[in-house]
Amino acid sequence: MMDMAQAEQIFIEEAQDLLQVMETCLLDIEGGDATPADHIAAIFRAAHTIKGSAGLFGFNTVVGFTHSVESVLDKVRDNKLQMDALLVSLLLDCQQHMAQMIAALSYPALAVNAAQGTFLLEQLGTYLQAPKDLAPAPVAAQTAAADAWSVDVAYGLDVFRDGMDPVSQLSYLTTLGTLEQVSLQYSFPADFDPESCYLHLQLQLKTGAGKQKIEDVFEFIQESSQVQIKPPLTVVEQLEHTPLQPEKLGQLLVDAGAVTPRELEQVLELQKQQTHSSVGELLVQQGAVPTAVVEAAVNRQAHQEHKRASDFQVLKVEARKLDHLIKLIGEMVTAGSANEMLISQTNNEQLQEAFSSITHLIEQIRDGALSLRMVQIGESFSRLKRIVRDVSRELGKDVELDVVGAETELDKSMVEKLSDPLMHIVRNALDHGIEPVDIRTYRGKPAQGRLKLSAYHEAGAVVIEIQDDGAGLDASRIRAKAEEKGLISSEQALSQEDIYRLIFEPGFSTAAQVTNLSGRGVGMDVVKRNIEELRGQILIDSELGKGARFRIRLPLTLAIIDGFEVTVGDTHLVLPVNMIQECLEFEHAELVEDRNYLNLRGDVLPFVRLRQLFQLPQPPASRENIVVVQYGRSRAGLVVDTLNGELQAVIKPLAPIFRSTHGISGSTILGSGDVGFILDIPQLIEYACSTESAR
Amino acid sequence: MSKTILIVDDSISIRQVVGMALRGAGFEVIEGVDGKDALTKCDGRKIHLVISDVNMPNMDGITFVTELKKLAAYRFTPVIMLTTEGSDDKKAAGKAAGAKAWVVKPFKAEQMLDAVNKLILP
Amino acid sequence: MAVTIERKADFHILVFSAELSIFSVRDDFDSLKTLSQEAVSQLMIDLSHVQDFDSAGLQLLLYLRQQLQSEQPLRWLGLDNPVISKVLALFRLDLTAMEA
Repeated sequence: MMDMAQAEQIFIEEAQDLLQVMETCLLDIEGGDATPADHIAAIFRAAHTIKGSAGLFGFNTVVGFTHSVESVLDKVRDNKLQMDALLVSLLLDCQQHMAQMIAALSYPALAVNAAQGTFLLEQLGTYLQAPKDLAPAPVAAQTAAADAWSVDVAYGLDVFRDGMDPVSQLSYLTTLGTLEQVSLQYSFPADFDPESCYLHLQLQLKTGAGKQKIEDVFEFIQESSQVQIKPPLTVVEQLEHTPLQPEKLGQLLVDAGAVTPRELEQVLELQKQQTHSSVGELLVQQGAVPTAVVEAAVNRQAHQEHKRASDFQVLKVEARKLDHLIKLIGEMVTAGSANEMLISQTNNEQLQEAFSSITHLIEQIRDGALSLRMVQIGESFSRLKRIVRDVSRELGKDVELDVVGAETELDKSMVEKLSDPLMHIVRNALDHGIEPVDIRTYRGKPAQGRLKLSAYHEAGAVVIEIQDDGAGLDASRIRAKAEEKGLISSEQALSQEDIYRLIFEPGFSTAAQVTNLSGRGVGMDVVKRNIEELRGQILIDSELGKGARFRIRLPLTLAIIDGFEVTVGDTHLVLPVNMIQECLEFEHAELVEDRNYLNLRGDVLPFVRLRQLFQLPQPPASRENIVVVQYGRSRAGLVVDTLNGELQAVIKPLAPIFRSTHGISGSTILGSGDVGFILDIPQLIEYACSTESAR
Repeated sequence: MSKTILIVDDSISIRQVVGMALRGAGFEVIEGVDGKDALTKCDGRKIHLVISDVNMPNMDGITFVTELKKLAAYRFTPVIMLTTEGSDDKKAAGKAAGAKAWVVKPFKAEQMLDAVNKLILP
Repeated sequence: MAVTIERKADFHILVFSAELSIFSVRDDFDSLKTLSQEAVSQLMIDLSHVQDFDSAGLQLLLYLRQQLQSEQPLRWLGLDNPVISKVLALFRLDLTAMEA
């Protein structure tokens, strides 16, 4: 049984998802990527569902506020109100306010800005009191009313002669509920027959009665007349809350009281003849239900199909369960390697063969399990969209955002940990990078600044780029500032790239320079640390006056890597295979004097002696090997003793005592049971290159 | 002025229960014990609604409705047929004769009142 | 008994009898046909004697209004007759209003 707290958590998650949808849609409209008509249904549904569910939990402030938002959206949907730029902007503010209210449900410490809420409600109110002459509610249009049933009866000619009296039915309806609107229409032919009925009745009925009850009022004229009964939109809500059972669309609608069994029967009969039409289409065609209701039912049906785990459906799984599964698979991989080693020692070919197919399966299971954790980065990008919009507005800058590769996948936990650093870099670019409009014009740049977010896969890594066409980084000013802060000495020789990297030093940014927007207590040093925690790397390119580009390279996944095992003395080291370029025998002869670089087919290759770096006591082996590794555009050689071959390494966090050790990013248990240290290749390359250039 | 309803059924208990319910709702009720008896009550007086059983001695309901509809004063008078579950052929015959409304037996008094109220104003 | 047409001064008064329903509309309609052959200046419709009124009766009134109001304004008598006002209220109709 689900307890209330769990249900609330689900509501909060659902509401956050819906708010996300709402935001994306509104931003699309604001950016001109979509018309209000494209998205109004989705936006409305988001608000509507949040209101409905919040009501279930008694979150009355959410219900109250969202109700006003929904009412305005409803007017837009009914074409009674135009969604102009002002309204989109107001709705975005409302969306943000709703997000605050939802967030405050889980963290009561987060105060909701009540004044802001009142202000927004006032603003919404002006739209709700729009002049009546804008568009008089057309009685004839059989649209579903928010909370009233629409009844439309085209009486047949014989109704009076059959002894039927429409006024009695009308009178009877008043016993079921309140008649909101009654309109009697008639058109008399030239050969008017007083005993024939030419009446057409349309009305709106507010009632708690179901459709069957309403239809029954007309049961005796059903054969002679045409009766259409459309449920109110609140039935849509009901559809969303009916208990889960595998049901057909038609039955779903009947259960919600939107359609009567008779109508369904008729339509099913009709469907036999028009096999290409769906039940939903036919019901709409027959005027039994408005499209919105069928859509809601179809959505609901789709939701249920998720539960049947069909191909392209989405299934929500608790991250905890997934992590547990991946941990088990990791252990299976390790156990597998141990077995593989033992089996290879038996010289039993049949056993080896049989086991190799298991190994193959384990690899597939591993890849499959890891891909479960993969999500598209687009979600984090759309969050950045909002920041770009809000920040550029506040700063009075005009910025266009380009997003490329939103479909690129990476590990879910990385996406979460990335959102802060990305946000910070983007804020920085808007704050310090892109110039105000007048300066841009003065410099002969287009008035509108451009910010480009892109993501792509490259050599076993995911790369995320944030590129702006702003002022770029000023190396001399950065240097001056770093000297002033005492981060470097004035004599220190630094490459341009090194100077750029100073902005990642703790204590580089100062409050004076940080505006109220980017200064949220997070400096660029935290950005770098966050990315390094993800075993990633951040690189800066910049051209003064033209712009800057931040590139974040991240491993595809955090849990398991294809590794290559080497040893130095009796220490086992593991390198990620995808970073290895080649392995060579270490020829002392090719050494350039005493320097730590060698000539690799004409290229200069800096190298690191791991024995020295890690201060391993054993003397060098008589034969050493060099592993050439590459990361991004740099490469280096690592000098080791023996090359042991490939393995799958399940990454385990490093014990605290090793955390300060440079060049090691994690550990793993080898098949033999020994501990292997996973090398941090980017750091090692950086180390090799900088020590060599420092000379 | 209250409206008049004619109830035709050979079962005394049905006539009593329906009669009580209808009188309680403000209608004037006259009774017929079978089709033949009922026709004698249709002497030109104003009758707003007829409720008739199908299976009755002397004259069954279908014949009664057919005869009733031949009389000018009752040609448009609404008729409720009391049918039983599954007697669709009887229902169809009743409709053909001019009884366009029906209530399925067994029914509760409220169901009968509902049907009446869908046909005539109280 | 169908509608009677009384002529008083330059008024034509259509007096409906106790029955204004499906049972009477054919006769009422036929009686009123004679009106079209007369020069009618002022028209009054009296509903005060009606005891049985149904949708067929209402439909006839709506038809009359549509046919006649273009020529001269209609005056209504007996709209406060509960038999009539009850039906009009249910349909939310106002017979004195000009037809749209």
